[in-house]
Amino acid sequence: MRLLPPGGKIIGGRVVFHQQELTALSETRMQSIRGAGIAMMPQEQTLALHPLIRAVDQVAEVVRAHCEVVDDARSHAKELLQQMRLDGDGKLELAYPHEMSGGQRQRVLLAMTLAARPKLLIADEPTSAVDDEVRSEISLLIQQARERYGLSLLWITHRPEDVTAMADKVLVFYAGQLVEEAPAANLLEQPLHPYTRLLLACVPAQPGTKPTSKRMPVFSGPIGNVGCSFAPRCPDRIQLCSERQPPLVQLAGNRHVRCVRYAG
Amino acid sequence: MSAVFGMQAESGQAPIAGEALAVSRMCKTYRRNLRSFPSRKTVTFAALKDVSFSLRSGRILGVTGPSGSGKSTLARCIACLEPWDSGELRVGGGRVDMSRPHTVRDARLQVQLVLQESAAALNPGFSIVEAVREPLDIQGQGNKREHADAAMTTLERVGLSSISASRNVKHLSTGQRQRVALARALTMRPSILVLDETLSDVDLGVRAEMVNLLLDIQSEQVISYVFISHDVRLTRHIADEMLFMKAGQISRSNADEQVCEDQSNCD
Repeated sequence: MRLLPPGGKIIGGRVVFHQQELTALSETRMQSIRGAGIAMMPQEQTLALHPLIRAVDQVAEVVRAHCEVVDDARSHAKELLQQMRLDGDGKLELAYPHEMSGGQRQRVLLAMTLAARPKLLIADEPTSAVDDEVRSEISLLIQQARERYGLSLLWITHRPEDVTAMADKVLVFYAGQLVEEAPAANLLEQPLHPYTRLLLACVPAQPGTKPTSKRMPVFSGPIGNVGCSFAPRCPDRIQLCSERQPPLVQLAGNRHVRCVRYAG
Repeated sequence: MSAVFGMQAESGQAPIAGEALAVSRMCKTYRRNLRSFPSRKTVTFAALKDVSFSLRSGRILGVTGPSGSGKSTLARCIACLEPWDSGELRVGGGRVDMSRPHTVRDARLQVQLVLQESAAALNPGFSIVEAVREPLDIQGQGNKREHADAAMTTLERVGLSSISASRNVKHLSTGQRQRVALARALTMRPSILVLDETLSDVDLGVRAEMVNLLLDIQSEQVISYVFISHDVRLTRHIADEMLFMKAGQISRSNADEQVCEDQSNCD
């Protein structure tokens, strides 16, 4: 979205969104893509909402900024909030962010991101800070929005169990690099990269099964500079790992993995 | 004179052997005055309703439930940071009475609270060692040198010996700050550690390390944990006993347990 903090810069590569090269666009053109083309649901809901504007007006602001018909922006915003099941007899629409619970604020944010009918929704840890009940409700709302608007979804999370339930395809990142790419179902059943395997092993067992030990597998050590960046922490490390950077290898079943063990 | 009465009152209690913490029939209501004109009424909200449980020393009690179910209020009451309306709290066999300061002081020495937002809990102007030794300095037993030594030992215990203790806490990563917050609590050598959503905000790698660290500490010293989290699976993983809370009450029935499990399965 070209919203890097000061000091951050895209120094190479391309970002193509609907046949448009985003890195080359002017700031004005980019502004029209943010919100209407690509919408982002940020992680920190309290920072993302204006503390002194009522919920419905925050949503209406997005409608006014991006939609052509702006006369009934407010009623359109109300409708959106109702779709997000922000109930409370219409009182919550007029509430300020501090008067709402985490789950309610999350609904307002979701209404804001969907207000301009984006084609791609980037959800950055949308369910990390809420309890299990709200988490499943928010996941369901996003799922419904996807079906209704034909939305593409990029779900960023540190909870593998979230991703595998929502996604078609999963990318695993480590130290700024893509280390594994796989269809969601395959990743859970058969993780290939040692980092993915360790990550999944850290997820507590399914309810009903009693873990053999309470201790969890850990990976400690620095991030590698030469060769594979996971090498110093890797349990399956071989000599070659710390010598050269492994390439991203394509495997059968539409899978990619960056590990020397799979490279020819 | 009051201290003598306090002692007598306490010796009247029969502490159960090995009991670290006991809460019986605890109730807590929050009151809020609505200032908006013309209504000047008081709104009450019952955060804890008749909560009872006990925890033996060296055990881990997991407390879980949805947001607003009273988990954090319970944590604050156990740590004696919040007065409760009725009911009884016993820490290490001694009854805590909020109107008797010495009982509160004794209990606060034994119970330490670690919060979710370690960044907010630590003074950003402090170095690591200052953050850890501050409780000892405030407590005022021993000299400054002993405090610094104790702080360094604790920092080593939580695995922070590799980074300079004079570094400012605001330059640390979330995982490192969590460790500093843990060290700060452990430096008082508590018998009960209340972990209120401590591991909810960290990534899986850091979480796994912290879980192992907590278990290691428990294998070395007699300490009980009250592990509070909305993450049912993680709580179940770490805890010896479970407590499900819902709207300020403990619901231990199988049905509620099943609901919680189903919700975590939906993820």
